[in-house]
Amino acid sequence: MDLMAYTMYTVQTIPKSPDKAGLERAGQLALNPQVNDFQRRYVSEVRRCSEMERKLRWVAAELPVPAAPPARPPPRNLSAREVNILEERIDYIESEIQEMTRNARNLKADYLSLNELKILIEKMQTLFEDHDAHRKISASIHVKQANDADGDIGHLGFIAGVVATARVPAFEKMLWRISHGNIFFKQTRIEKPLLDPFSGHQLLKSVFVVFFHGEQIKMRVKKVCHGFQATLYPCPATTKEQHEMLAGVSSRINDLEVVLKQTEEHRRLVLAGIAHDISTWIVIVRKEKAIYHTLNMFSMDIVKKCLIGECWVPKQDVYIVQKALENGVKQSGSPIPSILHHVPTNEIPPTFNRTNKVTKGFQNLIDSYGIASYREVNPALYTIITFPFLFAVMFGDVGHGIIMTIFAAVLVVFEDRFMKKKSDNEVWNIFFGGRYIILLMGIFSVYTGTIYNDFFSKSINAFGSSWFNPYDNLTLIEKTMSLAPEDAYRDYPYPYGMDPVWQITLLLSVLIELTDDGFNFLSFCHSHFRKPEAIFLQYMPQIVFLLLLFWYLCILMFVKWIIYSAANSDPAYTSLCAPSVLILFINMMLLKPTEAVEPCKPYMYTGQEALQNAFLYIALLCVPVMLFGKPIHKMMVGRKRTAYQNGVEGGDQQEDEADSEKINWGELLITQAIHTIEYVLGAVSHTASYLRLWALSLAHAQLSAVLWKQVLKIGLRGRSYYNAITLYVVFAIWAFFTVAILVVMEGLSAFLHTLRLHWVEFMSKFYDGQGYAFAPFSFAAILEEEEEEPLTVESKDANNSPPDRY
Amino acid sequence: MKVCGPKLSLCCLVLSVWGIVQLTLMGVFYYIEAVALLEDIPLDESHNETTVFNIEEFKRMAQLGYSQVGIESVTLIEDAAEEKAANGKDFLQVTTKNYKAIASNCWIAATMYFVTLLIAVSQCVWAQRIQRAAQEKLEEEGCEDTK
Repeated sequence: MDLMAYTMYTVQTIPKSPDKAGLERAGQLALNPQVNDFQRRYVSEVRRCSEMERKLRWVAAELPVPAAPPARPPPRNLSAREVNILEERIDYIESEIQEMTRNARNLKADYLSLNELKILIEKMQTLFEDHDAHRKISASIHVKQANDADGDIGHLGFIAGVVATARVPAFEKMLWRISHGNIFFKQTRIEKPLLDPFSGHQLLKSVFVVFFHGEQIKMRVKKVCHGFQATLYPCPATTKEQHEMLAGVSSRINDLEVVLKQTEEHRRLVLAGIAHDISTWIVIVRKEKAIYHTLNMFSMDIVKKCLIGECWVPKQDVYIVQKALENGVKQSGSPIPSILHHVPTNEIPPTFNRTNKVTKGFQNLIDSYGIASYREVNPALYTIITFPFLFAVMFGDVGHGIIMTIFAAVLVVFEDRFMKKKSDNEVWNIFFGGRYIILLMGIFSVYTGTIYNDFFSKSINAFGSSWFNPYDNLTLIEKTMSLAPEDAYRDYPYPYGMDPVWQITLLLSVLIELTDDGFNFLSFCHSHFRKPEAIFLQYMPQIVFLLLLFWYLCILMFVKWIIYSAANSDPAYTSLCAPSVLILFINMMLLKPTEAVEPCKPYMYTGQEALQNAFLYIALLCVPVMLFGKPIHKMMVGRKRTAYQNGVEGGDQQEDEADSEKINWGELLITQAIHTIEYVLGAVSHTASYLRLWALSLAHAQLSAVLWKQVLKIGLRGRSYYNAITLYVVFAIWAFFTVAILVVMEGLSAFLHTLRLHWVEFMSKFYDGQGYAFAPFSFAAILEEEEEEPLTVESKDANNSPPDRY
Repeated sequence: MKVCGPKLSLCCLVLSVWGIVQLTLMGVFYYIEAVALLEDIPLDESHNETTVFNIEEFKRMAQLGYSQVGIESVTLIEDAAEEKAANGKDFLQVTTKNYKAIASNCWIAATMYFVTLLIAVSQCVWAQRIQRAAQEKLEEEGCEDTK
């Protein structure tokens, strides 16, 4: 945890100062926003950059192939003039592409109508040729031509057009109705779907002809056509004219096709030319925007024509910042140097923990619970060891541990390659981010696996002579746990009170819990070393309480292991008489005397009863100390202060300070009572909670044993050589289930439980976690953030126009 | 030539390697136990009774401190033990035979996994080659466009 200094530095106003960029590269500042967004000086520049970014993004979307990320090193920052040039170029490109798109669309619309017309004419020919109406029409037309002046004589006019096929029935009905059945409607479908230039979809259309009688009906029909969005085309009546028109239309279509193709080519060329550079431009624009955004956070001092900014810097890095400032000043060639000086402040600084790629994962785990308050003990440091260790206690199996270690080792060894390939797969990212955690977990699991003597649920006996007299020495006891699983430990001729294998993990879990408590207290002491009353009145009773009760339990267990042995000559101390520690402990709490069966003694050592009672009473005494200690202390302090105040008349002390010290008895007592109850109950429940270590390790061992017995054994059953094939298949299945269930599922479950143990049982005892993170300005972070959420960044600025496409 | 895609072939590769290593080791262990058991056959008269002898009996004997029982390197006896044998000597002999049979099965399976390994490796290499060719083709097209 770094000390933070609140500093202020002044920079001369230049339209865009490169020193700022230099500073940002040093990456050590976090600026305090003070003024409203809109009042800042550089709003217009930010807006400009935003516009440019939007245009670039639209152009990027128009590219046929997604643009490759810029492989070259990021370019240096541009001066103001270069930015202007870039802006103009982007404008030009955007308008050019827009125009091209517009032209293309118009051309396509023309093409479509010409095509429709051609199809119409062709269909009309068929319509006219094979129907009687043809004769009637020609007849009537000839009649019309003969009687030109006579508009009264009924002549059949017709209207031809194209309408969407889906609408034809409704269209026909409508026409029927408005014309009272006085029209003749004929339609045929167009087989080939046509491309609509506006929407890009394929449409099915039909050609229709309406024959009617009279002008009024013609008007009505036209209106209906318009309502149904049918396109009307002028179609000549006679066959000869139709042929001519057809020829003309065909030639026009051909011309249009050529033009369209050329337009497409041109557009593609332009886009391809841009594709190369567009990514670099986007990066440049984003950087500019970020710089202006940050520059906005400075306040403007108009008199001296300089910008003043306030920021947090880690104390160690102050000289780096000063050097960057000097470099910037030299680069921009301004005569006035920038000044950096400390400002004493009462604000709480942000919390900054230096991490490298190994510790980053663990720090993330802690930070998810809460970022450490400023200058609080950072638990991440020993989480590096305790986390994998607790995990391994629950996961202990050499085989599975090896699988995990190999997997994590692959991730770590090839991490450069993996980091380049930015993946969207969240699961992969999570695993990759935690690769060091997984590596440590795997290594520790191999270690606990050797202690538990579990290799894919089979035990390895390396020390021999396990089958006889297993209780010779302690190391053999560990290795002979191989007898216990699934086997009849009931066959043990000398019952040990509680099973050795159960005891070991049980003991382990309680031991671990108490070591953790020890850590807790150390951390608490360190965090609060300036407040002695907190230590004495809250901490000592807590630790004494815990010590006397639970550590005594552990000591009992050790004593039992040491004192009782099968080889002991004293009949009272043979393993037959070994008492159950749990029962002893419960009796102690309940103040119940234990009974004994001869020749065993009721207690393990002389004076045990008296000692246990003493411990119990002292522990009980701790409770009221916890409950009342702090409030009484506060009261006494308050009384002293008011006495002082009354003695000194009209002191300089302000009113509000005295007010804040006024004691609210009720509240104080209640808070303290809650704390005490929480602690006492928590002591018991947390101790029991650590038993999950035992439970999970047992479950894991049993699961892997079951998997072996039920699956792999099938492959090992047969005695003939053909069973090798079954073994081949069965092994694949067994391997799959091992990885899926035992490594992944159990691993995640053990991880989760370890995390819970850390967060709830461990960190809740002493961890404050009220800090806020130190977020220095860094280009990489901003670029990454913008890639994920482009829209929110836009809406931050004053420019609220939605990204309009055309 | 293509039997499976790049991901499947990578999976098969890992599985084959694991299979070879584990099955070879298992074969070795089963064989060792057979040898050890064979060497330490307790040709004790008392165990030639015609009671039914199975693995439970065996374990009980072991726990009672019968020092002549052979050393086990891994607790593989449950996999190989004969269910019912006529007497003690029979039990041990048949069990030894079982051990050896299992060991050879393991080695045969290991060889089969070796063959699978070869196939998987070839598939992996082939998939990589295709991927590289596709990438080169893409770069070529990109260069042509900008000309």
